[in-house]
Amino acid sequence: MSVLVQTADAPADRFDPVEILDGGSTACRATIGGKAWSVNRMRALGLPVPPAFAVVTAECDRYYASDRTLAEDVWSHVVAGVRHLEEVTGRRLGDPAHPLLVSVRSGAAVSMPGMMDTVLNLGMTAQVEAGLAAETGDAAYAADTHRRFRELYRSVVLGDEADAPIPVDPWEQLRAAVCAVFDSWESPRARTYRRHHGISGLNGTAVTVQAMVFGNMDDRSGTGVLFSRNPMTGEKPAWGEWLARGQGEDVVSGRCTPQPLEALARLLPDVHAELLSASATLERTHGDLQDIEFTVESGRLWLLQSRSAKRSAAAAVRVAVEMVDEGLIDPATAVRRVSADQARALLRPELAGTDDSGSDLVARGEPACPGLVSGVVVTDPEEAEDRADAGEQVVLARVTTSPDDLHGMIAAAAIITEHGGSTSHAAVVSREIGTPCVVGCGAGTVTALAGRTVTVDGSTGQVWLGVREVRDVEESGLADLLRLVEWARPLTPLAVYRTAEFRSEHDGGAGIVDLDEAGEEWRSALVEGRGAQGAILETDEGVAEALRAGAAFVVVPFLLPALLAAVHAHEAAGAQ
Amino acid sequence: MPESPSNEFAVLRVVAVKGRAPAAAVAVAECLGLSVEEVDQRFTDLVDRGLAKSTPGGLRVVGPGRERVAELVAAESAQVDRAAVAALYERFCELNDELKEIVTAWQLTDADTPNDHTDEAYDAAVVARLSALHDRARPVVAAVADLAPRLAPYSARLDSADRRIAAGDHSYVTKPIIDSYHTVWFELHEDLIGLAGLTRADEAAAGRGA
Repeated sequence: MSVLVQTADAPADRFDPVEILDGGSTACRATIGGKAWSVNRMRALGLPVPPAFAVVTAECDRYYASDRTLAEDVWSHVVAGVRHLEEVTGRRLGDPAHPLLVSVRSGAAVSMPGMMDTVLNLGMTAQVEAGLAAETGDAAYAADTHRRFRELYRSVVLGDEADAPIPVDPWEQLRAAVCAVFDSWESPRARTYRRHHGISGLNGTAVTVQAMVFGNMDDRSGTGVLFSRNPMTGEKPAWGEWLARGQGEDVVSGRCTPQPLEALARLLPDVHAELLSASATLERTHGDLQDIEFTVESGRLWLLQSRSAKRSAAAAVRVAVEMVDEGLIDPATAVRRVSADQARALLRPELAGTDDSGSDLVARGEPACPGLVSGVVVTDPEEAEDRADAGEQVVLARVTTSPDDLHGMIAAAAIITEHGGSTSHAAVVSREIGTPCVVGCGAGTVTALAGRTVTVDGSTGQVWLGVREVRDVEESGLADLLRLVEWARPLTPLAVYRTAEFRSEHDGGAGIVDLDEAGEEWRSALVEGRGAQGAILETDEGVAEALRAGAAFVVVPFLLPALLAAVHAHEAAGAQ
Repeated sequence: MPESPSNEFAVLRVVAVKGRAPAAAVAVAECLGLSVEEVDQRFTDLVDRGLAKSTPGGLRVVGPGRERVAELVAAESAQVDRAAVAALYERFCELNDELKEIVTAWQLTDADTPNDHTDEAYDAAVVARLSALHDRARPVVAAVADLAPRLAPYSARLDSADRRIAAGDHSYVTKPIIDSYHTVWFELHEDLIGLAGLTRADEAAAGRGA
């Protein structure tokens, strides 16, 4: 496979060495990189984004042509770019009274390993730290910002010469960072990656330089995240979290507990209103649920990033269907927005009678890997292995997992832990081995459950006493799913029937092959019939293969997962 | 073979941390940069001394072996500069938070959607994040080796996983059992916890070790 990336919509030499990203730039992604492109686009929508400029990709080419030196005319454009940032922010690079700090990022048309990562807080010096401490009234924050800068700069810019001193002149820092971005384009890893993926036709990387804003400046400052609709349920209105006097990392790292967005509405109603209006603009422009990072500096709103939000399966379906009703997207787009796996997640069997949240619920944690399994709770990984070998169904319960628990985890039918979240070791490993898993059930769970038989629901994070009965979900009872079914049908040549409704007179039903009977040979069996049934068709791979083999129809327990898999496979094939 | 207590510790600890020696001594030899012959010999010693037993699934450390490892880990921890380890461990924990997010993004494109690895741009972006993290982790891992020479092989093991991923072998991102980036990283975490004189359970309760 080979990817030839479009280099420019217009000849690259039309652009100055530096593009100011104030919404007026006409440069395309290949010229200024994806990050810069989206900053410029948000500015073009009239949204408040910290000022930024980009050194264009053609300059990366020139840098190498002139033996890895930054031409003086390029540097003077960079200086002019910084002056623009200074003008907009009222701050100056290296000025202790009102210091401008910037982020420096690489930005090729496609992201690739080996490229320089972000340097944050560039412009930091001992004097600036003192100034920032005075300005924010938070010496610890200023010192921490300085430390983070030193660490990032050392590893990202100095790299192998990590013992070299960090320049005390912010302009020197900037020049070195720009050169480091260009150098990283030809790093061995970036070259290996481009060669391996057959990526050619690129000029190089752009460099984005953006002013940093401070959410910890005063009592009318803070930082937060806003979703244009609730990402768990897909419901309106917008949903978000706010951390007064917080910097971006505080929210992401979970170090501080944020407040609901209403706290911002009470503190700064105008900013709150502006934020909601920006959220609506971004959602309308992108036609999708947005995840927006923002900072308020002294009562002024800045949007840092907006991207399509991660969402639950339920939210994916609801947002897709409601956006069609609101005229934001067409039905075909809605179908593309929902993956077959999300549809499967909504159609997974449920526990019978879960709504009587009775006393049998013995533990609750974070769902890490879906699936519904019963077994006896064992607390020692070796015992789990031995009893599983003897044919018993065991649930491994641990305070937290260590590397040496791996073999017990593989042997267990389900895993539960007391500590850790959805990114913990137990969660990561359970997803790799496909074992239902609930993490973070809280202290004491292991002792309380040892030796008892439980049912683990890895989709909801619940653990029930005893062997619970499981109930199938009726697809025909879920209106949003049925609408997606109707929208998906015309987008694929493959006809899909529900097992319960399939009759032999349907679609030449006589020509149906049972792939379960074919076992390992299911691929060749597919070619023999007009249509097919079998468990493999409940996977993306099975449906894609049926399409490739030219099957006219498939018969499956649920319509939507198969239809979505068929539409996505059909479109992926068409794109190649 | 010359008696080398540090190599004995290294082999015993790798088997204990992995829970099971990989079927062939060659995998452990690769981990530690030792010869296959030496590792084979040490496996035999461990079994002879009742510290490990052979099972169909590979070499397994047993009770007395676990006690011996704990003693050796404690002795090692007592010899190192505690303040230096604590400072390094803190830097590691910051990187660890990021690593966990990256690995999760590799597995899930959102909370409910497993990454089916059909979106090359998505995968490339995650691999790019991992590779950038590796660049920042390298000096930290090298500094660990300066404090505790037994942990020196982690640099090469992480480099090796990183190289394989860059060359397109994506099983080296998170796959268990093999020395994927996540596998090696997590074993390093286990060793750092030991070196810092902490326990996994305490670290987990503090939100750092799970």
